[in-house]
Amino acid sequence: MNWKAYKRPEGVAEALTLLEKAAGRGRVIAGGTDLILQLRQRERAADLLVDITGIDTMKGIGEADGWITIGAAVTHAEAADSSLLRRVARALAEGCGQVGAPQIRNTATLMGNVISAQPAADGAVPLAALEAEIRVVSTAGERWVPMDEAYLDVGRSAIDASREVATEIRFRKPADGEKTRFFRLSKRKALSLPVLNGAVSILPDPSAQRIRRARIALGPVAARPFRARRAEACLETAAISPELIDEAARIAAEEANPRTSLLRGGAPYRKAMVELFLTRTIRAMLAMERG
Amino acid sequence: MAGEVKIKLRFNGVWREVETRPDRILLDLLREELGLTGTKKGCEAGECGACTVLMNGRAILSCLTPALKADGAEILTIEGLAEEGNLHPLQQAFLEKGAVQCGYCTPGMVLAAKALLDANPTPSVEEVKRAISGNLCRCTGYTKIIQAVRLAAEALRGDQRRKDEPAEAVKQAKTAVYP
Amino acid sequence: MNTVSSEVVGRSVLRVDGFEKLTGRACYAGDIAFPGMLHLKLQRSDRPHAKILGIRTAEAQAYPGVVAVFTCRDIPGTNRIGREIPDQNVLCIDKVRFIGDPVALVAAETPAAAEAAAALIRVDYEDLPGIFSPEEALAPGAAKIHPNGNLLMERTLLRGDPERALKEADLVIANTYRTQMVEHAYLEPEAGVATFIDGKMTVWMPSKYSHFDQRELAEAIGLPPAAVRVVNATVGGCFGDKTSLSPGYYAALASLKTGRPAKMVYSREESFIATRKRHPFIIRHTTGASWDGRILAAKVEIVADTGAYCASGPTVLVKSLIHAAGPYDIPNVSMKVTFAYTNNPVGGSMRGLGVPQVTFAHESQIDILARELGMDPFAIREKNGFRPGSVTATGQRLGDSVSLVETLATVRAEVARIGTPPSTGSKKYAWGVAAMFYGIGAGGRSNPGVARLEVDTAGAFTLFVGIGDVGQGSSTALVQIAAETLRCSMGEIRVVAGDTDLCPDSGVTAASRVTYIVGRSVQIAAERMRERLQEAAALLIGAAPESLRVENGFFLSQDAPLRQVSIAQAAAKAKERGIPLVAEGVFDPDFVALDPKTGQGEPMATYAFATQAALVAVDTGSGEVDVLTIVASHDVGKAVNPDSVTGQIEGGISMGVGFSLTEEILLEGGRIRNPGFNGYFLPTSLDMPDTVSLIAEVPEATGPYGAKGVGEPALLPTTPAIINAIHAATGIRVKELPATPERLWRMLRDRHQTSSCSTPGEQ
Repeated sequence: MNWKAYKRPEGVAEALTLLEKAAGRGRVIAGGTDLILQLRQRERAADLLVDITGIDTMKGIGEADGWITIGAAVTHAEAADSSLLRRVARALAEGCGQVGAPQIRNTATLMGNVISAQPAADGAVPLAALEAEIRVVSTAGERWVPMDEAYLDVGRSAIDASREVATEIRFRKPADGEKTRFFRLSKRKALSLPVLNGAVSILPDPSAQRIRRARIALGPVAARPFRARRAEACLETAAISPELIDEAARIAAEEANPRTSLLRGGAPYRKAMVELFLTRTIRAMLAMERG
Repeated sequence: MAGEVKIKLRFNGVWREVETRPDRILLDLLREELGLTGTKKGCEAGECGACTVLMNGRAILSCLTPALKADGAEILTIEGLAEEGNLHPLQQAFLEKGAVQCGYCTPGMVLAAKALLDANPTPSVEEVKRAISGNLCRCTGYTKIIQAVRLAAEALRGDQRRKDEPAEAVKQAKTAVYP
Repeated sequence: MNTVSSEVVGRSVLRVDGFEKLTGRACYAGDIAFPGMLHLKLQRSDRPHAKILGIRTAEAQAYPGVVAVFTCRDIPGTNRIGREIPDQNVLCIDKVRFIGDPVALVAAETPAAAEAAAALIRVDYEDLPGIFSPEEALAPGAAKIHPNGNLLMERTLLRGDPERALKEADLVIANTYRTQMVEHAYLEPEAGVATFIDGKMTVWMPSKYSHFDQRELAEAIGLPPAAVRVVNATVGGCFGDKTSLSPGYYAALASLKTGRPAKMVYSREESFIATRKRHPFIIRHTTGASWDGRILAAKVEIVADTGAYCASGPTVLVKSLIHAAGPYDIPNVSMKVTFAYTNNPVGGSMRGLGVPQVTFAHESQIDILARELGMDPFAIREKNGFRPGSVTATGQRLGDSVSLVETLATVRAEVARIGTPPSTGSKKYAWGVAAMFYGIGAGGRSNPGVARLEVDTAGAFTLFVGIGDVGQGSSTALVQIAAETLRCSMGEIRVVAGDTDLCPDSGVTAASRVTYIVGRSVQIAAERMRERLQEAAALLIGAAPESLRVENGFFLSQDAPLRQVSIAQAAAKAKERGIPLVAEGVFDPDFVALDPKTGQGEPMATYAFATQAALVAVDTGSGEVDVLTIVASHDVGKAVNPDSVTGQIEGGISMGVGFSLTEEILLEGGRIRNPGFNGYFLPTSLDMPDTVSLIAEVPEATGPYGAKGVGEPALLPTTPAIINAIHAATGIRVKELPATPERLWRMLRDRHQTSSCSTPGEQ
């Protein structure tokens, strides 16, 4: 494995000090389910691991001033079981509940999922649809990184885990009447990465005839969770109808443009599935709305 | 020894101090430093569940867990399940239902089931399936495993009722292998 | 043959090895450690076909912690392995023939050192053309993988006049079916530990045939067989593999050369890459029938990819030949089965030995036939199905234990009782059915089961058998048979299995032969033992031996009802009188070897039969298939341990679900692109259907208490039942496995565009 030291600081400042001393050879570890594998397979290397899961301020899911906040140490299991998230951000609770397997969910953190920067991330895709942002602390100060700026490339995060500590995720609490849903297509029902996943957020206007605001995030169709903005715009333009939904789904499939992958499948199939699952999901959401 | 660190782990109520390398993985610590080979190595990639142990009551994959992450934690391995020679109702139920074939997935499977029953004493079939969905089995098709977990849940509820009753204590767990 | 009342046989007694496995005490090879033990790592070929020009080991040898580096030159023995044709090496000599072929071995003080050093071995290769399909392999001018060319074996079968029958048939259906390469994927990766002390090599490893491994290993590394002891460690799943070349061989080699204990454990990735696979088959199956649904002729041509080495190719070939026409009375049959070498991973024994592949084909054919004729799928199978006395495609007249029709009826009734959910919109529900037959045993050759029973003067029995329990419950079943025959309790019999120093050679754990063949030899041994003890007891009681009976561990005589003699007392008396306290049993089923041209003969002494039906839900938008329920009726002759039988059925079903829907080794230029559980998908608990397992018992007269076998039959009908159900639900006929969602989606989409769907070759 090769790291020489493993520390569990009790506070963020301590974590930053440890990282600074390691001069780039240290790395933050949360649950570690991605990182340990990468270290074992020599895709990454580190001399020092800084385990942040013991830091009290990073635990917990809360609501304040119209924001929902999720600490960096919160696991997928905790997010999936959170009554708050189930109520206000169902897609996120659902996505977290479908990651890998119970054991992975017990250990892997939602923040770790984002920083791993894998495109097929069942936690990160709903966060993209919720337009979440990440608080990042370093010796230079603090900044907020929006989800759509968090990914540089596959496996490369805008957050530098060798110098910075991500402390929490937050997103604006969805408005009353705003519904979110998550969908997933995979090769079997557990222990498998998604062939396709997606999160949809829809806020109908008070008349329920039109969609005031739509957000659609998809994975793994690009190097990062993909916002289908043209499809979103389409959904907001006209009165709700089956044809509108079909058109938006078609546009989403086109703009997402998944490519042929050995493990995930051929491009025509994946495109067709984007269209199929979006159509079904949005129709189900709106039927709920009307009912 | 240079580079060695000491960690403390609580096994079945007993604290043990172990000296190990900073980059040790919990699975190897259990199997080698502690000689507890009941926890199995199936893939070393977090994809089969054979290495499942309970850490602070939660099912985790020991093949992906740094030993130092477990410092100060309560660990339950398969060796710790039977108490004073009496099988835990889960072990007894697996035996009675014929839920053990080659046995390699069994330790991880039993512990994943224990984590479920500790949190949910009345699991439905679907909940049992979900709780063990991270444990691959190639021999049994899972059917008898699910039956065994539900039988154990029943037995534990029965034990609990008996514990709650002011009657004399009844020793429930059995050790007999043959009927 | 059957006793008056079954005390033990027929009951789901607890497994004799269950306690250890449940408490973490069961010892698998990977759990064993010795002080001063060396750790081993192989460097394996990274290319599919190449000459080895040179191997440079200096850098590896110099790595800190390395004790030795071995190549083929360091092996004192023949360095040849291979159960049927020894065309494979422990360490390659002049060529590598598949990606993963072992080239050099590092022995070091730690696993990390061994792994690091193995990466430093430099091999100079001269690449040769890679051959990745049987067609390429058999084309004229193809590069030769082995000196004798790329054809491993070809056999034919001929019965009646199929060409004429096909011409005269009212209906002829011809289709090509393709099955994929599949991995055993047992949870325990291969491992082996060896010590070499005072000239005796002891190897602990999981093995489906310890005695064979002992002989092969000894010869390969250059020791007399008597100097090698193979001890079967607890086997964490086998399914046909865990035999022949495996880590134990390398541990033995290292131990021999260094004098130190040695241990090797394959990584999961290595297990995927290096070990044997199920042969992919291309099956061209032509069926001719009359309008009233009688099958008149079958013509089957199979081409299989046997991979880089022979392994069990011939066994799989012969078993395929025997079963390819299915459990149906067909008077005219022709078959040609061809196995070709390629530079793909090695094809070996995997549960079913070629019969899952051919069952998929013949059960699809009969299903298509039923639809063409508007016949019920149960009815057409009943019409053509074997009955006692039927004659098989190899010309063998079946005995009495033939219950295909009963299993069909049982499943049909259960399917009717369960019913079918209504299909809605894009969710289609339907049942599919499939039947099978499977000959128990090696097929057309001698394969005796041997057992030895001993008793001591305390009345404790020890049963010695050569085969270890691979998880299917064989040790428990054998003890049950012995206990039943001896009329004693299970607790009085200890079983020692798979230790070549202590146990007789009982043949291989394979072909579902253990309960039937080894079980029968146990029964014979137990009968002999009982006779001996009875003789001694008679002396003590003072009555004729024939007047004695055994009950609950005591000998009693109606002539002297107050005198009871315990087994311990009888044993002590026997010892005193010089009556041996040991008894052996041997059972080698009758067979008539197959004629190499016509395939006619009587290859197996008994056959198992089964029917399964699958209820599926198909999402016609995404192509996803959910298997909701499987109803299975299996005739096992006699279920020695019913829970073990249903456990096998359930496990077989899960393997069948994977085979039909999700499992596939993805090969590109001979390289496995998915050598891990993250890319090779076994069913999880959430993917497994509900099962209704119904055991049918039509006793096999030559089996112990009427028992046959179930291990492989468990899996055979599942895949075609699912594929037939998919057709019933959607009209899509899948002829290439696995039926992934993408494959189904494409077929559904293409159906809108064209009307024919008989061309394979997708993905």
